[in-house]
Amino acid sequence: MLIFRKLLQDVPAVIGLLILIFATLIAIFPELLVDNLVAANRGNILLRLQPPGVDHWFGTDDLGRDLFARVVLGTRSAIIMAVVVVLAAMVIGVPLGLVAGYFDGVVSGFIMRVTDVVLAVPQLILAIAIAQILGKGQESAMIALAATYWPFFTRTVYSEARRVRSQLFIEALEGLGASRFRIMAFHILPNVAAPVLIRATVGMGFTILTAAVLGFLGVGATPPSPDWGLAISEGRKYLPEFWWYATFPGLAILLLVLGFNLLGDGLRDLVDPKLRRSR
Amino acid sequence: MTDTALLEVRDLSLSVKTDAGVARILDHIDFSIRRGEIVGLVGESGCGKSTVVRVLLGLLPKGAQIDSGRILFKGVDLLTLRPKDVARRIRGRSIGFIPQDPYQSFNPTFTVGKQMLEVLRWSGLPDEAPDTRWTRAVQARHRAKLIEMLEAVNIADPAGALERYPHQFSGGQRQRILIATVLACQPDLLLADEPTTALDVTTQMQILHLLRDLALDFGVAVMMVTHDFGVVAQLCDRVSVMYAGQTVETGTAHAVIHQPAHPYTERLIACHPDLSETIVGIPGQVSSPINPPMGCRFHPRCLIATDACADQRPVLRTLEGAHRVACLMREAAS
Amino acid sequence: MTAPLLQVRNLAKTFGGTGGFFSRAQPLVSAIDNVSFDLHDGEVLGIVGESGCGKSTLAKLLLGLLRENDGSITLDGRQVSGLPPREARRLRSDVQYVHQDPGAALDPWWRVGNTLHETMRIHGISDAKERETRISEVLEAVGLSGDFVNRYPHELSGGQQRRIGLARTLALRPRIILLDEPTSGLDLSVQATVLRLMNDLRERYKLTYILISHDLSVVHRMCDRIAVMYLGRIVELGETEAVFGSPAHPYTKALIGSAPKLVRDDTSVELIQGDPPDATNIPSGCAFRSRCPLAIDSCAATKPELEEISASHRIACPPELRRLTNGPAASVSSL
Repeated sequence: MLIFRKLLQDVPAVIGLLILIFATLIAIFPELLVDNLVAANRGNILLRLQPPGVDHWFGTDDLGRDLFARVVLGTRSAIIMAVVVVLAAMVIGVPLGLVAGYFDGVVSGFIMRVTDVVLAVPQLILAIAIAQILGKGQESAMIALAATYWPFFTRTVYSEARRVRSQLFIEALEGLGASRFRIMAFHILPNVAAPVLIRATVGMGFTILTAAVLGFLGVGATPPSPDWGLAISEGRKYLPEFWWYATFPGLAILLLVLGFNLLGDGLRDLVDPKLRRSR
Repeated sequence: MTDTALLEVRDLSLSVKTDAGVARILDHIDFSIRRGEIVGLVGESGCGKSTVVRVLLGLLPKGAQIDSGRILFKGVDLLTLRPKDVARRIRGRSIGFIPQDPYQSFNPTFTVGKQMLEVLRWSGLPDEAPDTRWTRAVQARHRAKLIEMLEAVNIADPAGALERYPHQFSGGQRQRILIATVLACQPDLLLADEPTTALDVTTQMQILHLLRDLALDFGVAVMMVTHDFGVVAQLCDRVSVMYAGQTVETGTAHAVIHQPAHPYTERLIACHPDLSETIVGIPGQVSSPINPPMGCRFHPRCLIATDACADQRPVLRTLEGAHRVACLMREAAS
Repeated sequence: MTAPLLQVRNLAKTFGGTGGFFSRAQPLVSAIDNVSFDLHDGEVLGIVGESGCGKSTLAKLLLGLLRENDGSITLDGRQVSGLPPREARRLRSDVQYVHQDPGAALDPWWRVGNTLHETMRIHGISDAKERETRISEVLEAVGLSGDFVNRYPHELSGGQQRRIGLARTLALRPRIILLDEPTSGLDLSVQATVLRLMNDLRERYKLTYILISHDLSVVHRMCDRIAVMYLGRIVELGETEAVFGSPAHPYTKALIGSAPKLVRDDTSVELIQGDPPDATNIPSGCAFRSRCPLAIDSCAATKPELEEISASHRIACPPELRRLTNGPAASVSSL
């Protein structure tokens, strides 16, 4: 694969890819890094707020749980969250964008106006509101994030589908009498796949960040789950003396989001070298 | 017409490095243009005629390298100048350029007048000192000059036209406006790269006649790049025929069209609808500039080629007067 | 004469006018206005005109991709007009289209073979064996080897793209093929081979062509009859020999006179001035009067209809002007 080989020449993208591979591995097999997974959830009040050391690499939290184990376990929930939210947003957003982009008329006008309205409200604020209504818990956070992220896909797919639709081969297919579904599914969709994948990669990083904020604000994951955002929120009370409590979950978020963004940028450069690396 | 050559291209060769290997895009190109003369540069797509234009404008394609040759313009070898100097002293001033597609030559967001003034701002009028400040007085002078030029190219209401946007003009009008802009700088040489292919038939003839009349009025030499011998017949004094990066024949337009000497020229002219009720073509394809055929580049498609044509590269030899041809078979015959 | 294969009567199409719920109103543009002609089995009809004359709109109307505002189309004695596009297209599967830029008409992500398969699948040929047979047959017919099925569109040369475009259409076994600018963008030396191939295919498959072009030389050499269009209307219609031999409409004369000839002869060229007017702003009466060297006051009053000037030669120009153009000092011979 020529495209893959070209990606490997892009150093930041490779770093991003390595971060993501590593994160995925420990999300699936956390026992690779943590011998005693039970320790992550079982506190020992005598060992509370121990600084980082040989026994506890990242120190311990206010209940004496091993922070390293909790950060590792948090990877799983963060990645599941990102993947589920982005997939759900794609399932909603991509077909809507295809329909709105391929057809003209009231339906596509309606779809795009709704999209614009949702996009006009900052995603975080809307997500907080929805999560608040749905009640606490990781599920409601996921629903809130998916319900606010799909318009990004609709916008992307819409503008790309418009571009592809105006190309001659679509006209040729219409001339042959191909069905609308066939044209959308087999011809427009593959031609818009690249920007959708890039949007999805960057979107996963973004979702992790937003999910952490929801956890931090207490509308996301609930204790005792090893959520990073939640951990920062709890650790905040012990700053600055017990700095490690909030710092290590924060670094984990930083690293994972960085991984997604680097890879996303690399993919974008592959598809369109003219778009310079932003940021 | 004087006899001193305004532009002399001698033995110009250029190659470009590509992923697939080194491509010899231009191979021993040879032609000249005298003051006030209209010369046609004819060839099919991929023959290198657009590359010649770019080299003359000092815009080498990426990865390109001049292998040999000289480009003498008013006695100065352009290839020895730094690209910066070509850009500042030659391009747009002594050598004007009319591109192929008038629809893409304007920025749609500015008025035509603003864009024309911008050109004059950088190139300056010929009687201005190079570092003239762009004062209001100078600007007004430029404006007056542009209005005068727009009149010369038959644009109705020239003063009003300056305030309008490109999309308010048709393709033919835009090409006229481009010609007016380029001629306002009073160049010695005008490079026209297929200036009428994007236009309709009825407009094409108007533009060709306009170019011919203006070249005469302003004493500008024109290099007309085209693939159509009809255009050459209507417009040009002399013509140079290119095939796959090589000059194969050069001479007066009349001589080349009516007594073509090179087999390629002959076949190409035979394709012209005036001469054939039936449909004539040239079988085969233009050879790739990467690993071109040895010897004469046309020999794989030539009907009279012999083994010698595959071995030996023919050079331009004088037939009579200014008529020169690069063909071994012709040499043998005479 | 037998009944025409395709009969077009008073066809009209306008664009714009009212705006949609979410969009602004566009100016009303009349793209095709009162177009009528017959197409006989086995003939080649040329449709000539400059950009904006309505050639492409006419093609889309004939194919059923656009719905006509007025007029009728009869295919093989059956009425096929007055239907929504999808329905109309289904009824007109005998009419197929070869694009002006057949390379761009191929999905860049699909191999040529897949595109050919898909084209036939869309037309209900579900038997994969049958499709394979047809693909190898049409590739052979257009002079390409079988391994072209594995190529991607960008791996084809201009001439090869035309051939694939033809093969794609032939696989559907149409009776009428609409050829849109079949030689635009091709070098003269390649044009000839493509045109010759189209002639061969017509004989081999008993096809009827409608050839749309702005290139008079192509039309002259390929067509039996010619329709000259200007701003949505047919201004001259007749057999090729008649139209080229004695062009009667001033626009046709200008068109023919404008093609660059190999012999420089400035006297015979009757140049018309200016550019075609904007389609939103067509002059009243005869649309050509703003550029016509012969126009008189009455030209602004009524739209001239096609009238017979000789057997199978009709023009849309009133008789009083015709006398001027065909007078003793006829410019016909100089053209």
